[in-house]
Parts: sequence; structure tokens; C-alpha cells
Amino acid sequence: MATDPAPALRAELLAAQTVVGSQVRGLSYLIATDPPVDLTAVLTSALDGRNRRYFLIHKVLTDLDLLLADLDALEVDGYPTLDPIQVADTAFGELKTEVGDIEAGAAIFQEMMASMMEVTFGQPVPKGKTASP
Amino acid sequence: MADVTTDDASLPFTLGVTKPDGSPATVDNIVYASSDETVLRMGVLAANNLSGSVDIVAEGTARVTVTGDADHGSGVHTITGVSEDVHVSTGPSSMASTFSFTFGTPVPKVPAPPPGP
Repeated sequence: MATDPAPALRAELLAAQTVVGSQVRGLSYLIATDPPVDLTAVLTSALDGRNRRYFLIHKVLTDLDLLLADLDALEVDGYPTLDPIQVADTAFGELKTEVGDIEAGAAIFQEMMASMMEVTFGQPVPKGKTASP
Repeated sequence: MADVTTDDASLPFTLGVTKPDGSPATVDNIVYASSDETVLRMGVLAANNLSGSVDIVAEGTARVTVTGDADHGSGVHTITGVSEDVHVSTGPSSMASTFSFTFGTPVPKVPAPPPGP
């Protein structure tokens, strides 16, 4: 099981979700009491804002769960180890032959070598001063 | 040709190494030499041997030759580079700058011979 990469963030979001969830329920109850039109508009607007906040918190928490699940899958896959893959002798022999051919083909080439060296003088350093090579 | 005087202590230089296509290259075993050490003497070299300076010794003309091994493998492919001539002339501090006169002992006049009879 992978370790939660952001436990502090998760705890903070869960706490915030509890607070916002309570506010959403309270606002819904108030609207259900059939208040005057002006108050209903205010309550509805507030409820929309809190619902948006609740949804966004919920989305981040869901994404954290998905990330954790992906990390689990990666761990199950053997990460970070990359084990050598064993193959049958026949396949391994063919592979070596192919590699040998590639090396033979590449060996006919040579890196271009340096062909010119040029010495360029700077300004002379008067006596009493130190040169900086 | 680079012109310097005996009032100069040294002349810095940099080394450029290129491949036939003009791209930068590297060589092993870089060795510098002066064509005349009575005029120019190899001085300080940078740790990577790609720059340094020559010390100016006396009047004359000399150049710097550099060799290096372009083959980074087990083989050896020596290439050579030659600098422009460096002409060292006498600096003002070594030239005559004043005249001084020193008088000797005064020579007395020779007395006139007495008049004849």
C-alpha cells in the first residue's frame, strides 16, 4: 500500500468538508422553511457558493484517492525496480547476433577528429601587472 | 603579426581546436613550444591547457607552436598549430632618454712667446 503523498492536505480538506457540509445542510433547511422571497434569494445564493466549495473539496479528495490508487498500482508493478527480462536461449542468441551486426555496422564509422589548432593572442600585459591565463 | 615591446611582461593567448567542419573539438596531450626562447618563453598555462601566456624575454621575433593528439582512442594522430609571429621591440623604458654632460679639468691658455729682437 502506497503512502498517502499529502496526508496533511487530506486532513485539512476533510475538516473543511465537514464544516461546509454542515453549512450546506443548514442552508437547505432554511430554504425549506419557505422564507420571504428576498431572503430566499440570499439563502439560495449562499447555498450555491457553499455547494461549489463542497464540490471542489470533494474533487480534490477524489483526485488524492486516485493518485493513491495509481501509486499502489505502480508499487504492485514493481516500481522502482527494473528487473532484467529472462528469455529462452534461442531468442537470447538471436538478440546477441542482432546486436553484433549493429555493432559491426556502426564500427565502420569514426568520430571526426580535430584538424586545426589556432593560437590567438590577446593584449600584452605590461610589466608589473599579472597575466590571467 | 603581434607587436609587443620589452616593456611588456607577457602576452596572453587562447587555443582554438576545431574539426574539419568547423565545430569545436578537443585534443589530448597539448604541448606548447616557443620557436625562440631568447625572445618568448612559455609562461603560465590554464589547467585545461586551452589558454595561457608567453613571457616576453628580449627583442626579436618568435612564434608559438602547439601540438596535440586528435585521436582520443588508443591511436595517435598528432596535429600542429602555429601562432602568428610575435615581434618584440625595445620598449621606451629601455631606450636612451637623457643626455648628460660631464666637464673635465680646464686647460689653461698657452702663454704667448716673447716678441723677437
